[in-house]
Amino acid sequence: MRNMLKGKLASNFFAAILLGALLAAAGCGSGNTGLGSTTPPPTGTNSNSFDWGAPFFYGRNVYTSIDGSSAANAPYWAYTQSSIAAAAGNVVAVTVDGGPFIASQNSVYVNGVFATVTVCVPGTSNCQNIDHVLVDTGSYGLRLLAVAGGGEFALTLPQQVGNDSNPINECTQFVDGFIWGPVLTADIKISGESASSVPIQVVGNSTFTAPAGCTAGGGTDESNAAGLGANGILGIGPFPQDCGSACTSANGSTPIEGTYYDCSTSGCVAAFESLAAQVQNPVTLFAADNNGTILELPGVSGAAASVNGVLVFGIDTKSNNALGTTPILGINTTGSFPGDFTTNYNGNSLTGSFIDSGSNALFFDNSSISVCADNTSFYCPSGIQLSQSATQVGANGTTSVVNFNVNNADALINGNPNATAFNGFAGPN
Amino acid sequence: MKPATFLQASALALLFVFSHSSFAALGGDFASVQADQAHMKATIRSSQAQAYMVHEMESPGHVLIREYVSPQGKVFGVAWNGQFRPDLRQVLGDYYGQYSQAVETKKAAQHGRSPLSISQPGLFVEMTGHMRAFSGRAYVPDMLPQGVRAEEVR
Repeated sequence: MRNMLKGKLASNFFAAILLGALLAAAGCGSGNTGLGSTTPPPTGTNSNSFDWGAPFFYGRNVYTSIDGSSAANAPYWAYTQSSIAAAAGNVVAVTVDGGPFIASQNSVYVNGVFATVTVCVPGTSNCQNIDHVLVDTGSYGLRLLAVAGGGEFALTLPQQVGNDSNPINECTQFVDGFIWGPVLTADIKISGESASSVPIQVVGNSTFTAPAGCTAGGGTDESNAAGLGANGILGIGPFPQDCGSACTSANGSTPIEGTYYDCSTSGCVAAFESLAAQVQNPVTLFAADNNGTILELPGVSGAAASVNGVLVFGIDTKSNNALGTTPILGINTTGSFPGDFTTNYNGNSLTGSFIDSGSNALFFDNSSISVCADNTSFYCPSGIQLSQSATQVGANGTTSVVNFNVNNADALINGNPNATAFNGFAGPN
Repeated sequence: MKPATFLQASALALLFVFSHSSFAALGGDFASVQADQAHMKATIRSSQAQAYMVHEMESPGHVLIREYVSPQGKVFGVAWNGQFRPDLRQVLGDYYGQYSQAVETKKAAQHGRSPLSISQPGLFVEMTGHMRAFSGRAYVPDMLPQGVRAEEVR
C-alpha cells in the first residue's frame, strides 16, 4: 500500500456539527505543523517519488503483472481506457464508497477502493467474508483487522511458527507508521479464485507488544480502525512476497529488524523468514489467473457519491483479461527503488515512482501549488483546477505522457458533502 | 540519486578514525556519523561536495543513508532510501522527539495517509514510498551551510 491509506476526516463531510471539532483539532497545530500552516514552505521539497494514486485509476483499466509470474515481460504496469468486465469467475466487484467506518468513526475514506475477501480455516468450510478490504497495488499480501481492533476478522486460524515452535509475528512498515500482528495461515477465496494455506497477517489483537525494532522507524501503530480505515488490505502489487530475499537467511547472518519476529514470553526477536513463509500476494497462489490483475474503474467527473468497478484476475489467461497491444511500463526489480519506475515531472526525474490504488490521491511535490487550508494532505490550486503533465518512463524504456488535472480539494469536498470519490485529488509527498 | 555527489568516495573514507561517540545523527557532531555506523552495522563511504561533506552508509537491510556534514562539523541533513525505513531514533537523534510529536499532531488532525511531510521552523522531515521501497529526508533549516539549498539533501 502506499502505505497508508487513509482518508480524511469526516468533519468536512458531516457538516456543521463536526466542523467545530475539526477546526479545534486543526487549530492545535496551526502554528507549526502542516504545510498549509503559516510556516513558510521550505525552499526545497523535491522528494524522489511520484505516487500515482487512486485518481489515476478513474477511467482506466490498470494492469499489474507480478514479478516471476507467467506474464510476458513481468513485472510491469500497463493501462488502457476503462471498460468494465462483466461478471465472471475471475472478476470481483470493487467499490469506492467511503470505507467501513463512515458511521462509527465519522470518517470517510476518500478514494479508497474496496473489495470483499473470503478467508477460511485451511481445508474447511469454516469461512468468513470480510468486506471493505482495501485493494492495494502498492503492497503485497492480505492483512486483516481483528474484531478486537475494530475490524471484522474473527476466525481462529493456524499460527505460523518458527523453527523453535514460537509464533511468528510481523511488523509491517508504512510511511508514517506500522501495523503489528501474527502471521496466520488461511485459505483465501475471491470470486471464483481460491488459494490454499496462504500466510496472511492479522492485526489488532496481538498477544505480543511491538518490539523496539518495529517502532524504531517512527510513526504510530495503525493496527486499529482509525489507523487503517479499512477492514484489511489486499496487497496485489507486482511482487509475490511482502519482503523478498532481504528477509531470508540469504541476506546475511543477522535478521533485519522491523520485519518478521519470533516471539515468546520473554519478548520478540528478529527472525529470518523464508520466501514461502512470508505474507504472500494471494494472486500468485491461485490455481489459474495468477500472473497479475486488472483494476477497472469508470471515470469520475469531479466528485461522486460512489464508484463501482471490478478487479479482474490474470493477464492473458482468459478472454476478459487480454493485454493486447497495450504498452507496458517496466518495473525495477532491484536497486534502490524496487517496484518503481521513473516519472519526469516539473523538471525533476523522480526515480521512485509507482502506481498505487492504495493511495487516495496523486502525491508529488510542486511547491508552486498551494496546499489546502482545510484538507492539508491535498493541493488547492487557486484556479480551482490546474492542468499538469508528466512523463512516465518504465524500466524497459517505455515512455508515456500523462496529462492530469489537479483539483481544488477543499472546494470539491465542501461542494459535495456526500461524495466519497474525487477526481483530480493530489497532494504533496 | 545523484551519483556525482559520491565521485570521490574512496578518497575520504580513511578520515573515519574517530572514537565512538554517543552523539546522534541529525544536528550532531561529525563524530556521530561513526556512532550511527556502529549502531546500524553499516558500511560507509564519503565524498566532499563544495560546501559540505556527504557520508553514505548502507545498512544490512540495504537501506542507503546519507548524512550531510557542514564545514563546522555538524550533521545538518540526512536522507535515506531502501526497502525499509531506517532506525529513525538513531538517524534523527535529538530531533526524534520533535518529529514524533509532529507526526502525532498531524495524524490526530487528519487521519494520516502515506506520504508524510513535517515542516516546522526548526525541522523538516519528508517520507514517501511504499512497501519494499521507502525514502525520506530530514534537515534542520537553520543549520544549512551558506549557499546550500535544502533540496540538495536528498
